[in-house]
Amino acid sequence: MGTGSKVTQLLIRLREGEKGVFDKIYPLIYNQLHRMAHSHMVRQNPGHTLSKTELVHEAYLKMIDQSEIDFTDRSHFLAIASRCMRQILIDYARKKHAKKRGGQNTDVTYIDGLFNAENRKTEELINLDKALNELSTLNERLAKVVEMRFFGEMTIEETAEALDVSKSTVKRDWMKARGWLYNKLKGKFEIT
Amino acid sequence: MSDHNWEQIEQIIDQALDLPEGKRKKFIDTHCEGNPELKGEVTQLLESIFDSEGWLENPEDYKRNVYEEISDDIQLLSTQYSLVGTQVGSYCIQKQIGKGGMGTVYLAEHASEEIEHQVAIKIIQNGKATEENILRFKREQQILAGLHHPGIARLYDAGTTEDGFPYIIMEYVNGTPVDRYCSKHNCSIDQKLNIFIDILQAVRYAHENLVIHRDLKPGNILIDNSGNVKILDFGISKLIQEHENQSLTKTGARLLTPHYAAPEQVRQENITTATDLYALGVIFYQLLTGELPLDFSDLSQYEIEQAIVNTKAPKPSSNVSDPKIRKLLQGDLDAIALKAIRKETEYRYRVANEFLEDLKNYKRGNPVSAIEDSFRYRSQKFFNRHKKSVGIAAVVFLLIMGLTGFYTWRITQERDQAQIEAQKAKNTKEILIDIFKANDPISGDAETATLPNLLENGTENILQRNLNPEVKIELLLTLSTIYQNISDFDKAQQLVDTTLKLSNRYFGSNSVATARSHIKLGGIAYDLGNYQEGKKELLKSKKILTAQNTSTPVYATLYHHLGFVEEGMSNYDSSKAYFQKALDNVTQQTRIDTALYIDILKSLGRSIHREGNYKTADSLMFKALKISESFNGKNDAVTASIAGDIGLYYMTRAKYDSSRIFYQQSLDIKKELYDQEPHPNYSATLTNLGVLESYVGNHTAAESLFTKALKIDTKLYGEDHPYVAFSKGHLAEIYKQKGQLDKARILSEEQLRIYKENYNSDHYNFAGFYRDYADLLSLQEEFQKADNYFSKSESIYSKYKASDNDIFAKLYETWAEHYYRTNRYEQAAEKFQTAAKIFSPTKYDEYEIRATKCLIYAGKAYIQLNKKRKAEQLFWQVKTRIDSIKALSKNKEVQNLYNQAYNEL
Repeated sequence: MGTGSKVTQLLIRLREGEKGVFDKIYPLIYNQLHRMAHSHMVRQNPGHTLSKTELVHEAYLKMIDQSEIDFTDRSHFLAIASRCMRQILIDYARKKHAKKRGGQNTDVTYIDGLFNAENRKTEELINLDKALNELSTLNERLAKVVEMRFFGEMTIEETAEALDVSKSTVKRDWMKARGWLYNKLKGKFEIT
Repeated sequence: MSDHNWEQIEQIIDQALDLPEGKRKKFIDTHCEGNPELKGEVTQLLESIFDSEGWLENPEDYKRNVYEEISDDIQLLSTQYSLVGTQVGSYCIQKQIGKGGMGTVYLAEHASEEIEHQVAIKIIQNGKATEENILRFKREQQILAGLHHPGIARLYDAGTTEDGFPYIIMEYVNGTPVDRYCSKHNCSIDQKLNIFIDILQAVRYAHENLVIHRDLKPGNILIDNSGNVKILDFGISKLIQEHENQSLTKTGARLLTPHYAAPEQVRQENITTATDLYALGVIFYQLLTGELPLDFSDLSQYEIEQAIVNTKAPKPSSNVSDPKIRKLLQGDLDAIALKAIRKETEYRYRVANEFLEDLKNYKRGNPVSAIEDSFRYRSQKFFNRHKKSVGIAAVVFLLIMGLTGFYTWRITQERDQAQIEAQKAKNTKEILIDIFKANDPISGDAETATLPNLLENGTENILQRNLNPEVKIELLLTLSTIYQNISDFDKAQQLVDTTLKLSNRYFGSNSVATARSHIKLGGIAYDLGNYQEGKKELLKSKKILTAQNTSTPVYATLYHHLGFVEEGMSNYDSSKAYFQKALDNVTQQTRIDTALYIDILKSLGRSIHREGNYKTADSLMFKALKISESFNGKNDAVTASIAGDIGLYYMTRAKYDSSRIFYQQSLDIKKELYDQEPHPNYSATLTNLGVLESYVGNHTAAESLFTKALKIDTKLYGEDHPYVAFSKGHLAEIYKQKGQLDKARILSEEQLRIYKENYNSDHYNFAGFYRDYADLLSLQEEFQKADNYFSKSESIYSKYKASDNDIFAKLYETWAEHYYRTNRYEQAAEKFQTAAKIFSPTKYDEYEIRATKCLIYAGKAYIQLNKKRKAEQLFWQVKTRIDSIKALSKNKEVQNLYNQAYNEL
């Protein structure tokens, strides 16, 4: 059985409430996404444009046998993938950040400018991640909404389905979370 | 926000958000009554919600930026995606053996099982694989693959991986970095010297093949198990560097290891073999003492860069504690190590062989060059510090140093040539300095020495010396340039005659050396105003060079000179074309002679300025200024002269205020530089500013400037030099304008006397003088004499210039005034109109103004003649001009003149 149909099966079992399924499905999605993200970034050379589809959705298309799955399963998949995506991006950002601060103490040949000013976004991402963790202690759902909407690029409808709440709740949650994060992070980086 | 009653806050916010905006405030007020803290937090969050509208809403854009940041070194960041096991070229990657800023190095084995071959593969993860880069990469790689030396790790192949990363397949060296090797084996000084000699031999080989390492450090210099030196990564940093802009100002991404980086690398200047030798000097120092010459601990990157450029390293001997070693290092080894890491490339070892020779001499117990050099270095520092007290000799020194270009080491395409060029350039400068040091200004009769005397002695010295003909020619040509610079053209010519004889005898009449002498002759003829003759010499040179079929940088000089003579003959189009060719040639050289480059930019700038394309002209001039500022420094003679030129251009465009700013900048630099000592460049700018001030009617300022210039020139050249005559002429002009005609007359007559002593009777300079003299005579009412001199002026000009040259406009303008003054209105009207016609197509604002004034005066002349229709026609022309030309519509003087003349009508 290929990874794809395996994930499909697992998703169905997840829907049915089987225990421990999450721990099985998470690494599968994580690895797939990580591979995809990697090749995605390697291709960030001049002349290559990013594909329009967001990675999380691309992963879904790749991994899932769509005929066997309904909308709720799909939302669950995307929710897990969002979580993976967050972890992957933060992982890269941390390494990048550590490297910039001179993690290596050998005679590193440095290329001017490359490790300087340009690391802003990764640094911001790390701050955002920290703030999200803090927010989840206040209200976990708010943090999840951000994770899904921002890292997973899920729609309001998909998010509502995954969290089993109404769309207007998602909208309100999103606003509160955004306001809270903004308050927390403003001054740390330029809000765009 | 304290968030401790978060649930409550959320509840209120949820409800408030459902309300229409107008009712929210009241709702919050009632729900938070008696709890100002809660109210504050709710309000703040609500505000934030609205302030942050749109934020985080475009995750794609946000993430794209993140991806871009990460993608730069994705390979380094993702441990999971090591390339072990993959195939690169015909090799299979075995394991990672190193990691650096540029990329990762792997050990790889030939994929085919029969071939047992281990290699190192470097994969450059930071390189951006554009098509252009890959092409360049391939080209460079071929050169590197041609390096065969036991001391240099071979480069076998290079290419690009499927992911688009450039890779290099190199000889695998199992060795220890040289510094660790020496400490591990507890090497004696003697053993260290032997190792270092091996290193230098390998580096010499690469340099002779025109490959510069650019990133030498102990980590790149390995000693293998049998004690052999192997240098890794030769030329690699160039290979992976971003595409280098031809225009030399950009040397691409900076790629260096701070401890071993030379000042010129930090300043992002030209990198030469001297740059590698600097790094070797640091390593040498490190091997001898166990310490680095400069301590960078606790310094910021900026401070490190400053230290590299400015901080002098202590003597190696002062950096060791062991008294025995200290004793060994004192003297020769101290001098050698310090010479190798001099901040200024020209005081450093320039080729590996010199360094090598010094080490060998030291081992044999012979004197080393570094010791002598260190004396020269110190004495030159002394020169620089004590310019004032050293006086006139310092001027000579500055004249030599001012010819920056001639000792800039050019790596030409011709590989063998490189070595010779370097040797030649170095010798020229050093010998010249030696020679002038021999006329020791410090202990000698500095006060009584004059510039010509000193030069004379130096020249004799060179002529009598038994020197290799190539060096002798170089020296004489350089001296000839110096003579040219101080306008002693006879001497300059004599010297070139000698070089011509030498080059014919030793290299043949069709050699590049002979061609260069012809160029010089062309240049001197140009200076003398003999443009046709100059052109002939230059074409001779061109014929020789074309037959040689080389792409020598001499072409740039040739085209530049051809541009000059064509310019002199007013063939502006062909002149500009030559300047353009010169520029193309010079920018195509691998190493650019900055001095020449700047000169050519100036010339092309001038050509284009003449065409009226001010924007392009300005951009060329500012480019020259910028290059000079970064290469020569802000307070530098060349920089000052460019600023002076820009001032001149603004002056011709009647932008007097801007002009004054640049003149002043130029003067300030020169004042500082020459410390008020007599210097031709200083007096030249004084003169130009004087002209500006006299243009705008600041007679007092002009007078003082001209007087200063006169004083300097007299001191520099003696009473009877044409430059002194020029200044007297300018002063005469001022007195004339102030109405002090008798004073003007005396100065003019002195000027005439000097001219007569120096020039043939039909010398070009007489033309301008006669015009001004005639004008003065006219004012003094010696009309007949004036008539005479105006004609003389015209006939001389006709010999040199086409009849539509603006010089005639200036003549006819003055001449017409004379006619007007003597009531010969018919002739006045005619001359004024001719002048206007010649002035106007040249497009300078300044000329536009003068042309218009001429037309107004012509109109006035017609009024006097009672030819009102003609006057009316002219005034109508003037009116159209004033309405349509910006320089005129802003000019009050012209408008007043027009109104007044029109009223007369």
